[in-house]
Amino acid sequence: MATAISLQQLAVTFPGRGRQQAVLALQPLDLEIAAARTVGVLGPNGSGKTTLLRVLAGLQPATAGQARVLDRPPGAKDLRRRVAFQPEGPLPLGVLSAAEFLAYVGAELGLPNAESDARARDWLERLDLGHAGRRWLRTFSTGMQKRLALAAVLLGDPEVLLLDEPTAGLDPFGCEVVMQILRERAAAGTTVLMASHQLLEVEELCDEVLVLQDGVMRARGTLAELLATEEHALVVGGLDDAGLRQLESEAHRLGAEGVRIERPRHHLFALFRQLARRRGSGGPS
Amino acid sequence: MLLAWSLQALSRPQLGALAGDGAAAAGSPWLVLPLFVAAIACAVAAVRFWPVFAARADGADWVHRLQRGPWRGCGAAIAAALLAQVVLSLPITTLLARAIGAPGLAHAHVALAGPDVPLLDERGPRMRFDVPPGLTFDEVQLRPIASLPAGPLRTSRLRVLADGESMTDAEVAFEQSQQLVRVRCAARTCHHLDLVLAEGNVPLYFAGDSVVLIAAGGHSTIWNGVALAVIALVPTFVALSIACLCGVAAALATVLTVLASLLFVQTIGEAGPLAGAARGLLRGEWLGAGPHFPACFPFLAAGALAMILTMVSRRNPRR
Repeated sequence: MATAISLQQLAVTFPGRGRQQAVLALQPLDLEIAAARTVGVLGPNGSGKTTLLRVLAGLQPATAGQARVLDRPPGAKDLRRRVAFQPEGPLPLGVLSAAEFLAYVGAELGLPNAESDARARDWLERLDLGHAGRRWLRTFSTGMQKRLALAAVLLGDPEVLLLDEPTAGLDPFGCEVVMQILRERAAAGTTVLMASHQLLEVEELCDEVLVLQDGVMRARGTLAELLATEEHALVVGGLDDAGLRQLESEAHRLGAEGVRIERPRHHLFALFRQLARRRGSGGPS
Repeated sequence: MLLAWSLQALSRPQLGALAGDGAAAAGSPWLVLPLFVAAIACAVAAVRFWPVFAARADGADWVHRLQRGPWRGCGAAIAAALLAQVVLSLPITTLLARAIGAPGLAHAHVALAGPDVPLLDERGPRMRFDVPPGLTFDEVQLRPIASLPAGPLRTSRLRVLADGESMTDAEVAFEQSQQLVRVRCAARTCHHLDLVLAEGNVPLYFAGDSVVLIAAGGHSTIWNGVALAVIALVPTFVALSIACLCGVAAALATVLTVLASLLFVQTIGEAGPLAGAARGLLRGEWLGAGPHFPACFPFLAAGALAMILTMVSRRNPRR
C-alpha cells in the first residue's frame, strides 16, 4: 500500500527568547502512514500534536529530519489542494458570510467558480449551515465555525485530511454529522490524520492511534493491538439474582478468575448518537 | 469631518487676526486631522481583517496555507485599504478644504534659489535670483527670516525688480520675521529677479522658499484635492508596510501600536509629506508641480524596503 505520510527523524524545536528556554516540541520521530488510513493523534496538551499537523501542512519548518506528504515536501505548491488542514481556533475573515468564505477558499484552491459554488452549496446543506445566509462568520457559534471549517477543508476534495480537534466545541448532533462525513471520506480512500481529545470518537473512527507525550511517540498501533485484553464479557438477560449467582459459581468451577457481575450501562455518547440518527431519519427527537 | 470644520470655523477669527492673509494655511491642522482619522480607520481595518498582518493571529494558518504569494495577501490588503482611504479622503481634500478656505484656483509655486549666502543687509544690499526660462507669473511672494539689526531698528524697505524693471510703485516693507508680502503684477516672464534694499537696517535672510513665483493660469482646486488625497496615501502605505514587517514576529497588539504610531508621526507629527502638502493646498499651491510629490519618494522607498524585507522574512516563518 502506498505511503501517504512519512517522517524521518523529524524534530521541531522552538528557540527560547530572553529567559525562556527552548522548547522541544517534537523529538526525533519516525512515522509512516499508509494511504487511506485513518489515524488518531492523542496526547495531553502541549504534547506536540498541533506542531506535528502544522509541519505536515507546510506551516512549520522542521528543525531536523524530514517530512514527506504524498511523496512531496509538505510546503510544495501542488499539495495545497491535495492536502487540507483544518487548524484549531476561529476562522479568519470574520466579516464574510459562509458562502463568501467558501468562495474565497475555492478561488485560492483554483476551483472554477461554478464548481466551487456548487460544492459549497452541497456542503453547507449537508452541514446544516444553509440557514446561515449572509450572517458574518464572527457571529457564528463555535460549532457553526467548526462545521464551516470542515466544509472548507473538504471543498477541494483532498487526498489527505489533517484535522486539529475537528469536533471540539460541537454539540453531539453536530459531532455525529462530522463523524459521519469523516467515516465516508475514510471509506472513499482519503487519508485522515486527526488530533483529538475525544477518545470515544477516535476509538470509533480511527484504524490506528499514536500517542504523543512531550514530543515523543509513546505508543502506536491499531486499536486492536492497543486495546487487547485477556478478559471477555458475557451479556445475559432474563436471569434473576439466584440464576446470576449460579452462573458465577459455574464460571469459577470452569477456572475463570476475577469474575464479577455488573449491570451494563450505556454511554451518553451512544444515547445522543441514537437520538441524532432518529432525528436525521425524520423520527421523533 | 464635520467636527474638524466646526472647530476650524470657531478658530478662524483668531487665526485671521494672527496670520492675516495666510489664515487659510494656518487652518491646515484641521485638514490633516480628518485625513489622519480616515487613514487610521482604513489601516486598522485592514490589519484586523487580514490575519497574516500579525503573528499567531486567529485564523492566520488558514490564510498562510491558502495564500502562497510573497506577502500572503498582505499586498492586496494594503491596496484595498489605500483604495478605501482615497474614497474617504476625497470629500475631505475637496469639500472640507474649500470650507476651510482653500482658494478656488491653484497655481504652480516656483521657489527661486538665491545666492550662496542669501542675506540682504546694508553690507550686501542687492540680491539676484535666476528665473526659470519660460515661466509666466503674475505674483511674487516674499517671506524672509528677519534678524536683529546692529543699531536702532529701522524697517527694511525693498524694491523688487524684474529684469531691472520695478514691479511695484512703492517699496515693500518688512518688520517681522516670516512676514508674507505678495507683489502682484500682470502676467509676465523675466530672466532675473532682483531684490534691492532701499532703506532700513533689518537683515533679511532669503533661504529655501522665501522667494516664490506664482505661475499665471490656475488649476481647479478639485484636482488639487485629488492630488492631496493621493499624497495622504503615502503615510498609510509606509505604516502598513512596516506593520506588515513587524507582524512576521510580533502579535496583533504590537502591530497595531506600531501602525498607529507611524501614522501619527507622519501626519499630525508632520514628519511626512502630508502636512506640507495640506498647507500648500490651502495656500492655493498647485501640488502637481511643486516639491510635494518628489518629497514622497523617500517614504515610498522606505515602504517598499519594508515589503521586500517582509517577503524575505516570510521564507523562514517562525511559530
